[in-house]
Amino acid sequence: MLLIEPRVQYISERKAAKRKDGPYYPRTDEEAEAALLRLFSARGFKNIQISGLKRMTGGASKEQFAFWLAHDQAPEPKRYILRMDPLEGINETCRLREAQILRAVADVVPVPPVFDVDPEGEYLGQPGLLIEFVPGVTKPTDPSITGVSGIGSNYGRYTDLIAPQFVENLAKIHSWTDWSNKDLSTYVIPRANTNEAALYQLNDWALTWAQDKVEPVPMVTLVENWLRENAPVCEAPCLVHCDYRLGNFMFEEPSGKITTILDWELAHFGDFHEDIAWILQKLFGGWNDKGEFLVCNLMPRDKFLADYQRLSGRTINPETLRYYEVMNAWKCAIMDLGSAIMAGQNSNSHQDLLITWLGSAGAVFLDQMVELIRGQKHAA
Amino acid sequence: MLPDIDNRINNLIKAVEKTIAPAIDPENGLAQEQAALVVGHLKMLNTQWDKAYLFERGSFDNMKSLAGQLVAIVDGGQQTLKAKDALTTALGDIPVELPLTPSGINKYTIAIGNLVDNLINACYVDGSAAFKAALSELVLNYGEKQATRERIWFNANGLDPDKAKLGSIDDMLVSDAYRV
Repeated sequence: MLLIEPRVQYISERKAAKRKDGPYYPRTDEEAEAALLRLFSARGFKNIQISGLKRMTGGASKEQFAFWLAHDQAPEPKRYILRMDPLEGINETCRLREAQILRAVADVVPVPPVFDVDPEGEYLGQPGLLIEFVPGVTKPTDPSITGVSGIGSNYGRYTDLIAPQFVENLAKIHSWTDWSNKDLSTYVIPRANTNEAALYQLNDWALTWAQDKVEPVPMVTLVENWLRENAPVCEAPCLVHCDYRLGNFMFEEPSGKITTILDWELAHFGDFHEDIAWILQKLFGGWNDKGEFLVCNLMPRDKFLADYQRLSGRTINPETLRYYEVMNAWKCAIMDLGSAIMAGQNSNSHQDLLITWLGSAGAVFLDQMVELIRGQKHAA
Repeated sequence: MLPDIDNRINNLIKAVEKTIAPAIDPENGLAQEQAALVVGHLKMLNTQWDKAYLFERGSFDNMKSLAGQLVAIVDGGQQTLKAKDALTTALGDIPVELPLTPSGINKYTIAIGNLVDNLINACYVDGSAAFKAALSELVLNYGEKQATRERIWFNANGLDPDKAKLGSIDDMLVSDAYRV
């Protein structure tokens, strides 16, 4: 039996089925407000007042709108964020899974509180998640900072304040085991002491490639087979954020305190090495003025690995880490050379231009796979 | 060709940068972002369009070389041999006179590439150990060279962490260093 999470398989198949409904156009503010009114009316709210609705920029995969809401049961206006799927994008994930995991880890690490979820887009038109607005910034409000979706950002004087919190929160996510009383009905937890953790991920992304392949890429095919043959045993699966990096957390200015960890859409239960390998990617880091590579522009690789092991009590296995570095590069290649290009060709995203721009970086990951499989070096 | 393609792309960039972008509501972040991306894509297209045929021809040559190297050493069971036969037939069917457009030649790259994919998958089912090891090396060699070509081709996107180490498009198109 092919190991694949049923909800993940459903979401992939739903995307493939809805693909023909395109092209997709960005929602206007008026359309977003009308969609919200439909949802809130269905929830039984009376005298609904939506104000200050404004599109948020920066993301590549979801349409996001900030707005204020007041109604009879909650007359004091409160600010929320709507995260809504386009028809297809650089990755396809589930808003219900995202809501479940956010609710589950609310007392573990700082996350935005969930307000509502419309998993099938019954009212919003497209699947959507509503979360409470959390104050903070994803990068310093310094006009010289540039970068797309967290790529190429740096934290300036906030680096030393943020770096320890970044590692602490990661260790907390991986150390969380109190999930038995949480509603995680859309998740499958791989069996301990088996290679299921790797196989669930592998099969999920292999399905994505099968659906989104635009052109054959022999490296992607070779690496899929290599990953299957070398899938490591995971002794104790844990929660994996799967997109834990710069740009995916918010912090306060001027204290530098991390206020929330964002973008849990790829979260799953698996091997902690997967997160470590993701964080180490060159694409998310940069070099300081001494020419030293900084993981997520925060700290040198060795310090990150040492601090993580000290705080989590876990031991990083270099071979397993390399395996997940290969897998992450493979996943990124699939997103860039498959899903992004397919969505752009179908004109099915509100960010066709951005995702095809990101897609043009696909060969960076092919090159990383070559180096990693040959064992020449780590990706960072 | 008058007006030529360079001229028209440059005029498009000028129109967006100097007339359209400044007229966008500063509060409309998406429109501003889209305008910047239009300019970025146009600038990248301007470095590529005149060389697109040579790039696609190089990609085809590399894929064909990989396919030829693989069929020359195939060893394995029924699935591997069946995949080899299909690839051998496709290689034999490539016309002497190749299409002269980027999209025309790309169709052959895709056709051969799909059969290479099939052979890789078949090799992992019943290829001999020696063929599997050799296939892995050949695909990695192809992957390294072709990935470098593509990284150079799209270097203008600014996303490559090692962009400063990459050569020029002109050099990549003629140098043997990127040929399989």
